[in-house]
Amino acid sequence: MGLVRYTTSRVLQAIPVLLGVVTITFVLANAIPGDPVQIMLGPSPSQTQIEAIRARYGLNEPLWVRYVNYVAALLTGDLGQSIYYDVPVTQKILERLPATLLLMLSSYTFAILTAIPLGVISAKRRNKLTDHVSRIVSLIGVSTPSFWIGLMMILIFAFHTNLLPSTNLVMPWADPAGIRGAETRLDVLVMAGQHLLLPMVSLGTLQMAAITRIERSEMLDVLTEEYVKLARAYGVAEQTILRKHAFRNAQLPVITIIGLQLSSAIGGAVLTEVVFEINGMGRLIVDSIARQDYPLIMGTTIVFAFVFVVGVIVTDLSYAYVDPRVSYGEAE
Amino acid sequence: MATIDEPDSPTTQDAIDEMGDGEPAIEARVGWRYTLAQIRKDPTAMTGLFVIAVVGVLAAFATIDSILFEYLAQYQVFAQFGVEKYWIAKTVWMSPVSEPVGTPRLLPPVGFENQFGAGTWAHPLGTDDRGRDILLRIIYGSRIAVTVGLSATVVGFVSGTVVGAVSGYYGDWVDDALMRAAETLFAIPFLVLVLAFIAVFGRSLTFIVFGVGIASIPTFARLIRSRVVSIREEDYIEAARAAGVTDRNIIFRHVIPNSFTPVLVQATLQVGTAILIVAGLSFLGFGVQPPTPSWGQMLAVSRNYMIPNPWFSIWPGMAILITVVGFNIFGDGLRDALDPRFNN
Repeated sequence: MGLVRYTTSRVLQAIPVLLGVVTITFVLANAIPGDPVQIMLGPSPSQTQIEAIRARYGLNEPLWVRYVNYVAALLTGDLGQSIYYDVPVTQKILERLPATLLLMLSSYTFAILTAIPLGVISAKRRNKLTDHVSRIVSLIGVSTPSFWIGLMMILIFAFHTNLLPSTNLVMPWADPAGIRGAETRLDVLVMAGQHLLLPMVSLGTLQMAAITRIERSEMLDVLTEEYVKLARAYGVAEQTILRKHAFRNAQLPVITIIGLQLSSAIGGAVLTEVVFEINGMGRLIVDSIARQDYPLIMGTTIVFAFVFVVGVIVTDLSYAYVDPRVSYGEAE
Repeated sequence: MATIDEPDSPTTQDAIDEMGDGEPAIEARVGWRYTLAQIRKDPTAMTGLFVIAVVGVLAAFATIDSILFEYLAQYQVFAQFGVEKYWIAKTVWMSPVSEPVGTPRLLPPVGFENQFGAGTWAHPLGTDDRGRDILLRIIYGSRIAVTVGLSATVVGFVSGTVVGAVSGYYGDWVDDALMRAAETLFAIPFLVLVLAFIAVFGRSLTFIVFGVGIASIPTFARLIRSRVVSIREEDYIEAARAAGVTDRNIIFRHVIPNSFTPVLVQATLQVGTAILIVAGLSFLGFGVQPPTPSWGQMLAVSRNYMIPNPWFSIWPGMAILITVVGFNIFGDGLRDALDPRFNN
């Protein structure tokens, strides 16, 4: 009951934020110096062409009417029409979103699965060799541009040793008939895994490093708490203290960081998609900027913000599973 | 009586000694001098500071060379000396922007050999696809990284501090409005926000600085707000208010200086983040336009020549990595030095 109410209130809180995002995007898009009609039609359009375009995109209306129309259309899932592709923005985004989500989910999985053990071991063996190595790795991880890691991995694994492919991502749900060299579903899955490996590590390294750093420092904090000292004094085995007493209590800040890292992960995904030539949302926004396709730029920005907000809500909700002390307001 | 006093007196005397004129015995664990002393004891932080200093000096040299001499070139007197943009570089070495004559393209670094010849000390890190010296371009690329990284951070730092302080100090609806706005700004992923900014205002360096700066406002604003909320209730703020000090003076003279330290640490780390973002933007082609060198753009070009010339893409990445590591370890050291929990 409490959880349902908490979820509802978190979702409701996200609505003004998303409306704010839409407003910022709309204001930015309408602050463009120059006439968007000119961008669409080139240097010397005829008067009738201008009128036709103005009428089609509703540009004759005052700004606030257009804003209300845009928000109203957005509620029905309509983000307008792409100038370059001449298809609905929603359609274009739905085509590209799965690749980006797949990339981000896999790199997050990689990051969490490597970072949490690494951080815990680092804290457990503080100032020993393992700790130093893990700290150096995570320092380099937070300080390296993800696209450069990508380039270096392409250099090593694709060009020099020819172990892994670096372009033409195969989606795991693709039809085997349409993929060269694949006959069964299993072939497709294997190929997708191989293709995904380099982009996943390239994008996940930053998240991995950031989570390792926070995991280590939180574990160290918890390990100096009174109740841990007490448990030690009682002769509880170090392993048990680590697993049962310290670990769980150290996870809340870690979860917060995991959620907030989504912002840099989305930025990293844009760059990773460019490096590995993945046709996702990131390449879509970069190409749209080059083509001045404003409806598409607005659409991708709003959807990226939506992904971020949903991610933060999910991390907030996952507090409940980690920390039973977290109350969801029913007692207050 | 005397027997009871006897064991106590030495310790009491010690305590008095320490508290009285024995200044060195009790050390204040706050203040600039103490922080600097702590940092000086921390070899990692000192390494970070050293890296920042080296990159800073190189960037300053490159900036002076490009701005001052471009300005000097306007005067006839200097024309006969051949003064132009990148004058020092051009005089003692070669131009970082224009194609030199007679330099082999894609020459490897010293100690390596490829189809274009062997590396020479004239070009320690090799040459790029147009025969320009890579080391020189990296040095001149530091200009963009450092100036944009620092100025974007200053923009975010100053505006974020003001927003956070006002929000935390006034509370109530001001707080609500400003924090909702910050939250909204924060919901648009950093790079996407900067990209949207560039899409609208164009690919000028100024807008990149403001874009990256504005995108970092929420981080600073939240940090300082949380400090201000706790400081607001302190007695000395109450006293200042009672003494008739204006809100503006309370915020700028009392609240901000007292909430400064965590923001300073964040700012140091933020410079590193900003450098990464700027490199990413340049890599995507939205940074400074060629031929002006920047690290990200060098990496973008190197993608086309990676198979026979891997170093072409290794060096600029190393430059970014080393610079950002410098800011990160210095920031970590600063945090440890400012955090009383670590000082024992």
